[in-house]
Amino acid sequence: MTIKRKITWFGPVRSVVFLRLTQAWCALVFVFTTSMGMAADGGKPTKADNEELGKVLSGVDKLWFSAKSSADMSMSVKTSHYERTLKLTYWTSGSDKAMIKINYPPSEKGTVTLRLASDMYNYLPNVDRTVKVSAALRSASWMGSHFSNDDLVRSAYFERDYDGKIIEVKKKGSATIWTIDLVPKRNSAVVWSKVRMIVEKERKIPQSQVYYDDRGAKVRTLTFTDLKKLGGRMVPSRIMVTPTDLPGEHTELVYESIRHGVKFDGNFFSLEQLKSL
Amino acid sequence: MNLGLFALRNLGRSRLRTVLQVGGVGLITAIMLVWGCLNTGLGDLLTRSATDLDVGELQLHAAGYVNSPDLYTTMPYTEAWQQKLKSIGLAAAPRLYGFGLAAIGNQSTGVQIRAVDLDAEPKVTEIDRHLSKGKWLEQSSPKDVVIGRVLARRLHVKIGQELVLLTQAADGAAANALFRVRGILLPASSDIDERGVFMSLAAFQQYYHMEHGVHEVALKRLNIGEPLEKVRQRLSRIAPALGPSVEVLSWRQVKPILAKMLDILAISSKFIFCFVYLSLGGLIINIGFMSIYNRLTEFGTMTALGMTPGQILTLILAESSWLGLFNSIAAWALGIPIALLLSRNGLDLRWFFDHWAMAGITMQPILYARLGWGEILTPIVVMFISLNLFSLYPGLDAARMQPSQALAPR
Repeated sequence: MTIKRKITWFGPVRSVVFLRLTQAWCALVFVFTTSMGMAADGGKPTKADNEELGKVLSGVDKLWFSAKSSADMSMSVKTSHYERTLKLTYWTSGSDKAMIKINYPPSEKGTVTLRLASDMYNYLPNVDRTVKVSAALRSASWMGSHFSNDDLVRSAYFERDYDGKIIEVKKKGSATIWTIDLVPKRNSAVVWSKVRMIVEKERKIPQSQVYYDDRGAKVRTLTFTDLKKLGGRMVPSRIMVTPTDLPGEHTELVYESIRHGVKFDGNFFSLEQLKSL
Repeated sequence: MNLGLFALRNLGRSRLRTVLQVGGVGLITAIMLVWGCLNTGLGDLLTRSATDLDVGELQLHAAGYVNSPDLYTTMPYTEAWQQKLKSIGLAAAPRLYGFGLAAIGNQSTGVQIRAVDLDAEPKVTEIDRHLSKGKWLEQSSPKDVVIGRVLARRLHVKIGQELVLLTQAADGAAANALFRVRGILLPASSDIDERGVFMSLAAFQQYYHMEHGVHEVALKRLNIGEPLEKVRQRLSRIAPALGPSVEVLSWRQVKPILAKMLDILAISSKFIFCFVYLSLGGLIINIGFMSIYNRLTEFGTMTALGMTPGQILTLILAESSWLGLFNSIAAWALGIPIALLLSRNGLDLRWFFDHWAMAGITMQPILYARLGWGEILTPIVVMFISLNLFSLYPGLDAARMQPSQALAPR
């Protein structure tokens, strides 16, 4: 009603002129604020960017973990059928040894997943048995979450297992934001056909990763938020995985503490250790 | 003049040729009869393997479960259902399914966990009697499982050994438990052989933390003589009363590949019949021509004495019909006893392989023939038709022959 009255007050010709001027002013303000405060398109990657790509991917791979490290984390799973929270401790040594133990809930406390090179084992305390997880089940869900067995023990690394290509470079304030397409290297044993990663180049901090299956369909999105200084490094402390085909469902992994330079016994990452952990 | 008797006398005059023809065509017809019986037996075996060991004749599901099996896509199942299904002539067996990891020692593999009602399942399928080793499940041993034979071999597991089953329960928690292998099944289907782990419904509900609902209800006619389609229609009428999202499927819908395979088998057997008798056609034409040219003077004389071309053709076709009758007697005399023997004792193919699989159904290598009216009459009818059809050409040739031409000195 108000608008109608104003247009009537200006008259038909004057109202058109007024609207055109308003539109032009809005467009000017939008372009100005975008270029100054938000982001500017940095264009295509330079040769230096491409040379630096390997380092950035390696940085992302090693962001939370070093040669010998451990972390405490919690994992919240929300599906259309249940919600649950687990508390976990994670140990890793190099790229071929990883171990993860469930501390909570009590019914699953003491369950341990161990990866030794390409072999994966689960120790089940309630039946006192260690089960070798067949390779075919690596992509299956880990403990009812939207993470797979492979995800949790990190058997794939971006720098080692994928060929990367920077497809977009943007500036966000002083930070350079790369969009990278990663496709598996010829002989690497990874389940995804493509990963599209958005990463902050300077701090090697990922913002999101979108995973595609072998038919090229988008399967899930990982988002990285809540930057915190953990273990002396600035890292995203929250990782949320959202499956594309299950709207409303997600799993959130929250890093509570990270320790680098941890000293492990010689047989820490061994089947014998699983029971006594 | 009785042309039928005349034709019979003609065959009697050329006994050797008649015996050779009856021997050849009769033997082939007998072989086709036995082959038809074995073919029908194969179809029966495939159908029975699917219905009696796995799916039952009809199934009820929560809508969408078949296309997208999901732990949570269940439908309620109560005693009232069982009574209602019984009242329309169906025995019912509720089931639950889950997926997990089975492990023993250093071996592990993905499995399909199949929970069955131990009282109801034997009324619908014969899986409880289909064991190669050990025993079927019992209510008193809820921690026992029966597994497929390929799975047992893959895991190197023996009767009495413990198997770890690892999965995710309905509440999202990790479910893992030890189960004792109580029995190993005979070949059933690729699903059951390679991944099947059977346990009781109660054990499954406890293991998966599921208190209510079933994924599937397998059904079988109480009166096996009643047409399945009629029972299916009756079931479809009462299905909405069982639940709003309950869908009715026949075994052909649950196993579409097998159904297609059986259709192809039926069509291909008809093609093979036609192909065999078409091949025989050349032989029949050849014999027909030989028999006519051997009797050229005879036909010339008959025509000169006043026999019409129509009567000559009828005479030749009557000879073919008599031959057809003798062929039929020979084929039945030889084929029916063999088919009966094979229907009783089966054709043992164990010398060649220990099992065989078609369309995902694994079968023992003993093929039982089925002898029915269709199997007895089809090869005879096809043989009769082709014999007369292929005699037409030489018959017409003889009928068109002029006496002067036939009686001319050679």
